[in-house]
Amino acid sequence: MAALFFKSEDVSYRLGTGGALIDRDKPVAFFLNGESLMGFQGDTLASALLAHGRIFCAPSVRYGRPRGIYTSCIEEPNAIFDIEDKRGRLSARPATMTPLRPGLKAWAPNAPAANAGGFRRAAAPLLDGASFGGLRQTVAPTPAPDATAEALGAEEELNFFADVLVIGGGVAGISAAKAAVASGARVLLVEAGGYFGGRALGDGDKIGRLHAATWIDKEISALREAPEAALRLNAEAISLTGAEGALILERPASPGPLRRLWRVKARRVVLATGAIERPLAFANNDLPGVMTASAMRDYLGLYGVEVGRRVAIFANNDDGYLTAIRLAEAGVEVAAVVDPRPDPQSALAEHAAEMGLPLRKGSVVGRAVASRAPGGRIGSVEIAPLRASGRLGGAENTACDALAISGGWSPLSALFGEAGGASVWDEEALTFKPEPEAIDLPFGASLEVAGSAAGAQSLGEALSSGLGAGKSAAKALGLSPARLSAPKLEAQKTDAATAHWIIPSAPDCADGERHFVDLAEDLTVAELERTARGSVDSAAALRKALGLSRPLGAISQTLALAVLADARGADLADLAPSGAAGLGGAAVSQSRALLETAAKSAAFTAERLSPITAWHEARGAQMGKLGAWRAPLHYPRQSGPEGEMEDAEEAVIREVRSARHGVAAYDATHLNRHVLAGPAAGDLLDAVFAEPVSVLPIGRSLVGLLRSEKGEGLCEAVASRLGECRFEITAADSAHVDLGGFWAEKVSGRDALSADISESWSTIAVMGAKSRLMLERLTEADVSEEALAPVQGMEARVAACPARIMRLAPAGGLGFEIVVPSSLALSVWEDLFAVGETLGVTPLGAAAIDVLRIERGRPAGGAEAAGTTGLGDTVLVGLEPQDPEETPPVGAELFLGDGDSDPAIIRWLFSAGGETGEDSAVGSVTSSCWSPTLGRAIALATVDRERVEPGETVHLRDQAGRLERMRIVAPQFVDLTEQHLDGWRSH
Amino acid sequence: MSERIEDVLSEVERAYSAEARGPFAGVAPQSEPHGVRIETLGHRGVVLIAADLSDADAAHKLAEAMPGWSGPLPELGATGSHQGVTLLRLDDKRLLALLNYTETAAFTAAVAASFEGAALAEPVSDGYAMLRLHGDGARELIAKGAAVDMHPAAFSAGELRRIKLGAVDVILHFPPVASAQADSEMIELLCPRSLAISLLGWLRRAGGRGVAPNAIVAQPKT
Repeated sequence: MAALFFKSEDVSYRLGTGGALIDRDKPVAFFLNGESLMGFQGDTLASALLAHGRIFCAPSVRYGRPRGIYTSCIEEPNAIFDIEDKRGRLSARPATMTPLRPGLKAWAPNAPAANAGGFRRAAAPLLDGASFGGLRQTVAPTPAPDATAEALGAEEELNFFADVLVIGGGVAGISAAKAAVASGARVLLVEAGGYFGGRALGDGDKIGRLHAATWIDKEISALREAPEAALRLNAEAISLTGAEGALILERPASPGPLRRLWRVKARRVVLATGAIERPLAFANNDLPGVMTASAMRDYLGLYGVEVGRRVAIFANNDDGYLTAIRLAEAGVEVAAVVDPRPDPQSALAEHAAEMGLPLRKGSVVGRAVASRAPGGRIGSVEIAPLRASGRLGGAENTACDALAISGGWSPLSALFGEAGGASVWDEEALTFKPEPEAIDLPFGASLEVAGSAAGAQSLGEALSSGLGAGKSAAKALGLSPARLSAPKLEAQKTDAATAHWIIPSAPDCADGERHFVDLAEDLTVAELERTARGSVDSAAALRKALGLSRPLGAISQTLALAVLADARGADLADLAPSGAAGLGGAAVSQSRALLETAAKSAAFTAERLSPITAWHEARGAQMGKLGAWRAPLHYPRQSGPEGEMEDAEEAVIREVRSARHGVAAYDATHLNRHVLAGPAAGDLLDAVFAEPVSVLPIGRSLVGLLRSEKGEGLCEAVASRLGECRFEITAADSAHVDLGGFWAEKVSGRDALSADISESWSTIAVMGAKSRLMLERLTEADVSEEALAPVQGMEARVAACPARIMRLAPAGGLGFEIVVPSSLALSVWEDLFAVGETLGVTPLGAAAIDVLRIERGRPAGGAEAAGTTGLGDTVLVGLEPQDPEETPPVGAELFLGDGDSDPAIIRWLFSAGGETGEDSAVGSVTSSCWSPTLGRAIALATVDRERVEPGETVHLRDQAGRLERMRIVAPQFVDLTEQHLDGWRSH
Repeated sequence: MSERIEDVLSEVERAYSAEARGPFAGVAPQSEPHGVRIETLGHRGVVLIAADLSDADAAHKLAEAMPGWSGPLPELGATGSHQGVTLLRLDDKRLLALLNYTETAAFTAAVAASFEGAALAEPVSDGYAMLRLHGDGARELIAKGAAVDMHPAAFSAGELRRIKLGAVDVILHFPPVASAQADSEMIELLCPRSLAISLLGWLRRAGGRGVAPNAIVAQPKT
């Protein structure tokens, strides 16, 4: 049990007072690896764990070294947990960014390894000083977190439009939002964490005459009141490079979905994501208890938690003194304040001295030493004076159970890099910072960086930088910027940080194998130095050489590049990273991976239902997809003495026989229906149909083929003339043409108009020898052979509903189509089955329709060979096995649509005795089935009319590559009398 | 084909039910996910008019031909209402008229007669499904699925939007409301009949998770 490590130190580290974000009257129960713990409302998971002294999180990925909570921010490398509440589970979330909520369950992702004592076994050799060079090649990486499950989990999207998107809710972001709102812009302010105010809140600064907390409260309240401003917490910007807008991933604390993806279309983006405190590279700088100094102040100020009882501080800048002062003020014992600068001239250093804190100027921490306590928490540090030569003086051991470190600050600018931004070296601040020019984003916005993300070094600079960004955003939008000025801050004497990248160590650990640069990647100074021997001269090359799938995180990148520059004798300024491959951010990298996974999931398509769908389902139809429609494939019935259900084949055979010899009905609601009207309509239709339409008498129809401008066949369609200048065209959905767009384009610029009326009308097809008999029971109209000849239509009432009856039977034989208003279709259908019961009326599924069509010599649904069918040099023919006694060579696949056949495979035909390469093919099979009417397999093919003669024998290459002998026959396998179809094959 | 069915049935035909069923037949007419009420509407009259609306003379003539209408046609992307007729101007070629179902035949005939081929008027009442969203979360529910600016300053009464919601083509507008109802926001959605259940399912799922608190699509704050 990982929990075992903590038992002895599981006492409260919560101070009696303090904690700006927590409500001590509202305890919150939560679970860590199944164990129940308590925190307060307002805690993060990290602060609640620290309040129990639970700093250890999990063994490290490569070396199995113990690792603890290291930061209080989004770039946390160690405290990564799977989080679960009643809404679901999020994997690999930083505890530092996880708001505590009642019943929350946290699981260390690699808890099983800890259970087995894994980290101690693995860590032992390293702690003994063994070399681990080359491990990256031999140690299998831990599997990535379950990104797929998360990416495809309960996702919700929200589209949002704003003038200005401000990313980051610290003082710079708040100021930018304030200036933009005051200038009249619509603003969205998003903050990745659970509170506004950023560092200023944790550090308890003063802004003007106000305490930071009061100032933040005031400004946020004003923004909340402003009708044009929207604010979101726990909302992390993850991408600025999509054409559809900025992507913000919100993880609402509760209620709501676990994750909500915002697509924000803004015209201006202000990036105010702040900066992150860097570590210093000394031996064992990764032990639990070592933490960035600012994080330690956060836990103290925001959550009333002391990270250790006796804390040492090691910093190359004034942050160390600030941390020491805050800790001492809160009553935490300060063991030492270690500063490599021999004589820092700053107000904070002076104040710390006045407080009598144990200052160790001109010294460094050469090594952290683990205690014997479970969990590997730090027990002491070795502090040694740093001589002018760069060597260490005699080290002395100082007991402590936590160590605050600061190696300076780096802007968080991964999103800027992703958008193509480059960075420059700031020698004074010892950091890379984004170039100051605004850059363009793909969704038409421009991006400006502000605050410490842009390199601001003080609270005052951050405030005015934010305000300036808000104003320039307003200006860019054509608004007149509000007259606002940043609050005046008291000037404070500060002293610049000094560059101390690799801290010298005692000889027994000077090899750099335990000087960690990046904890998430378990990357050491030694490994970096080895890498630097190759041709690594940029951040991107370094990433590649280290075999990393993403740029190093913001927390470690500057240090890594400094080590690289040092090892190569290069100038650090020349290594300034740029672009997505160079500027890193752990959080952004992880979110982007999720996004890529989500993008790969299939696009959602809505399903269309006919007015009769419910009837089909109630009748037990096997439903399937017919284009976008949910349609019946066949209707299995009980059969046989035992009452067993028919299989698909039996059902389709029965349905086809009814359609030929009895009466059957088919729901053809999915047909598209367009009206074309106007003086030019007839000519226009002549141009797109293979058959002349303008000569049709009023009330008549024809079944024909729609052609593209190049003369290619697009789909089969029925054209009906309803008036002098009015035609209706019906056709099934086709993969080859969007009919709505097709007709709109055809009438454009012509003296004609088109209207899509597909949805308003439903078509019910009835067919079979007894179909007229049945129709006569439904209508008083005369539907006799004399009154309603083939391809003729009439207005009539069918089952008391206004309808048009058309004598049409595309699958051959006797048949009618009844066109009724969609709202009455179910009523007509039900009446049809009521009056047709004694005639044995059978519902037909799409599978039977396919078979009926092939029997009639018409390609089955969707299988029209576009560009070839019946046009040009090709002709549609039938195919039969040369020897009918042979096993049917073609058939079953398309017959039921559920065979093993791969529709992408073209079944080619070759001349008997000729070449069998695809270049030599004389044609190909378009559809095939087993015909219940004929009792044998049949197929349709398009062939080159110049090279194939009727009656000729050709060879068919089946999917297994075998050649089988087939005879070319006429495509009308079933002899029928309805002659109106002849236009189809007249070519 | 659009005359009132019940008026013209013969004795024999009365044996048949001729029961009209809307696209939401069998579905509870109202449902209330958090913060939004979804109301499915029954049979309404819809007439599709196709004409060259960019021609000012033609547009004027059309406006005069429409029974119950007076004044100019709404601009592109806009709506207008007069005496029970609401016009939705979809594009340069198409106009939808929403009206009482029983008036569709007369309306269609009047437009068709006065144009003789220069305008196409088709009764398409059966081709559309209609829904209404009521409540403060209505705008936000739409914003969950459509890339449309739902801020009141960007989209308000008198305008229409053509959007995709859950992969369904939807026309969005604010129906004219009696002043007694005007205190609560109401948005009307029109979609193809065959996709009605898909759209309703999408709305219920999206609404069922709750709309985000704080009225994030910038409801006017009071």
